[in-house]
Amino acid sequence: MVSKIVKEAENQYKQALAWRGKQNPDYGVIINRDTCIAKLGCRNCIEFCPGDLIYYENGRPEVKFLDECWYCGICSQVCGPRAIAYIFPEQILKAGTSEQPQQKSKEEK
Amino acid sequence: MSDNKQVPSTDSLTAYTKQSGPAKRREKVLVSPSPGSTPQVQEHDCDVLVIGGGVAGCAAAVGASEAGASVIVAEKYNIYSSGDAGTGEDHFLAILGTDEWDTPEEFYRTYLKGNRDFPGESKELIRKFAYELPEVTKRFERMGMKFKDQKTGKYFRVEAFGEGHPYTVQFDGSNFKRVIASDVANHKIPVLNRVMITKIFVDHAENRILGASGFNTMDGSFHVFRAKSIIVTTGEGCRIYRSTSGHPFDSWHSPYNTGDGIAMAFGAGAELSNIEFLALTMCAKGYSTPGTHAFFGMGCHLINSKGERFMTRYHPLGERSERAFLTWGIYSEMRAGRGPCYVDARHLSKEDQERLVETLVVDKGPFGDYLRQKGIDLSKEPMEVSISEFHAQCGIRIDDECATTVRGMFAAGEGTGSTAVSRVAVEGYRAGRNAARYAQSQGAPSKGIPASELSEEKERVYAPLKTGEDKITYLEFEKQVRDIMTDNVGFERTDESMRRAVKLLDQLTPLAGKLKAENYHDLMRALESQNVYQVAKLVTRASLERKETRWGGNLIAPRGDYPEPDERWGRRVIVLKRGSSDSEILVEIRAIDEEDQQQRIKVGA
Repeated sequence: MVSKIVKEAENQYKQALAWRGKQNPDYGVIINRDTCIAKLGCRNCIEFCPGDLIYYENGRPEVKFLDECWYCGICSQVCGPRAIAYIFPEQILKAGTSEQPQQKSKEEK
Repeated sequence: MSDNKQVPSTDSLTAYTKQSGPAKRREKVLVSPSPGSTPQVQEHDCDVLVIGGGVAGCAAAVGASEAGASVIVAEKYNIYSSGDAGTGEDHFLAILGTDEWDTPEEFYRTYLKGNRDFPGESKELIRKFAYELPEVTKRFERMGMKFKDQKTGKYFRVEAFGEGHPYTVQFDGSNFKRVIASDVANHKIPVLNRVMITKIFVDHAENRILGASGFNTMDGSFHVFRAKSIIVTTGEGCRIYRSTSGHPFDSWHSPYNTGDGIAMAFGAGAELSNIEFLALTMCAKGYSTPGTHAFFGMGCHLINSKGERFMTRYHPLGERSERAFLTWGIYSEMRAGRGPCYVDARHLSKEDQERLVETLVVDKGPFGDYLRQKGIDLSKEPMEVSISEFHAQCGIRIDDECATTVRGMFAAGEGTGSTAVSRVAVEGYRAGRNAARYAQSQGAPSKGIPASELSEEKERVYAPLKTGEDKITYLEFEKQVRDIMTDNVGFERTDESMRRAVKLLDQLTPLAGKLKAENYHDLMRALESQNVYQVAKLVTRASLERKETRWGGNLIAPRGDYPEPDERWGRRVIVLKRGSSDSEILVEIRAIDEEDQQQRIKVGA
């Protein structure tokens, strides 16, 4: 079960990378238009977004208020074909560093 | 009634999708009203109106319905995903009777020992939580919550946050909220999704609830509710402080919870208390996300820049102490020049590391994406953490029966000081039962809301849609509120800085009336930011009074000029009440002994 969840997430991320160039802006909630099934009547991401940011426009789901996104993951969770992934904005990724501490952690048992 | 009433009958997502399939569904498009158009008005009658459809709201609706009342739930978004639990839950505080410590008696004892009771909070409230929890745990399992580990068929229980024993069940609750919302549907309770309630009407002469009004955020229609009793479960007040990334919607709890209920209850004349106690947590630097419980439940370490574990300096339980001690510890290390701080999972077994990542992803899906995009591998390196923004988790004062000081108005969930999701649910059911009992004791239906008050409220609600000179967006307005709060009412708040904040916030009052909105979505945000503003003012006013630093559980009331807890203040509670207008805040400092006697407001009396 562990690896399944992690693998799915990895696949989604790869898909998103392939799609980010085609979407404007190229960060945030990335919807893969190839695999999205809105044309079959699915409206899950639109219905379940807890901030009501996604609306139906031009025959497809459009993230109309990306700047109000909580990055909560619900739209991707309820997406049947797993067509949604996230690219975090620089603002969130760049805050702080991922630099490591100087010494190794002391074991205090 | 309106056509956006959705009552799906079964618990699965597919069933929900089928039910609201293309034929029945109104397409969700963004509506910008034409100038001069008048909104359609819809009226509703019920015994109990539940405002907010989070975990507490859903529980309250079911509780009231089971007690025989006619109930309506009004929710700003969609009850299947709204609220803090909408993203999924990874842990649940439970009593399952599997061990000798696994009893309400022991739970109550350790819970109180954990210093979680706040000034003026009734011990009875906590005792009832302990004794009603086993039943709610069983109820959730019956509803289809998979508390048992799918692989082993056993409960996986951990201990963190100073719980004393491993009461917490770690489980895959990614559909947590949908299971709870389905229970509302199974009870055939009408739900009005996407209706934001903006005002509660009270007959002040008789101290009696009349009803509430709100508007639909999709089509803009105006909704009037006549109700005998109201349960406020709209959650905490977020968006009042800047997060570590500065992104306004990057918050630990749902940024769509803007303390609407706290502001409305205050406006309706209910007493508020302990609102100066704010919630905050440890979060990944730049991404305010839950997950603290997962890290420390799994046994991760907190280390400073020298690589030392430091938590035992602040609490004997170390990393397994309560959330407020963790944040206090991180803050103190940084003050002492030993920051930044890191959470370290390198010493965990491979299996535990995998479980950790999986649990983090269940609680908030994109956590995995965040780690990947930031290039952090938890098994190889520690992750930098910081303390998140504050949010207002306390406010509406309730007694042990979940009644507020306005007769017929009940409250549950965050916004009343409830912290764990278990307690939110337990108190939700209790509020529902009591509201139903109260409504049934009121023979005649409510006489209705005076037309003049309604038209005044309608005018206020739709005002941002009108065009006019120097209007500002809700974001510009809210940013000013957050800047004032973060700079003056933060960790280092002092008497002087807060007096300045009071003045600066008051200067914003004219701007609050100049918010602009081009469509109904923006209108909702504009009204939300007015609530954000109101909550910020209330927090500042109460914080000015408490002259000590006190923390416990999730909550902290810090002061830069009084950095230590003070015994005398521990026995006092700060109560806020509305004066002649919403901007007039009356403050009363009550001693707790007297408080205990006043604590019980007889329900249905």
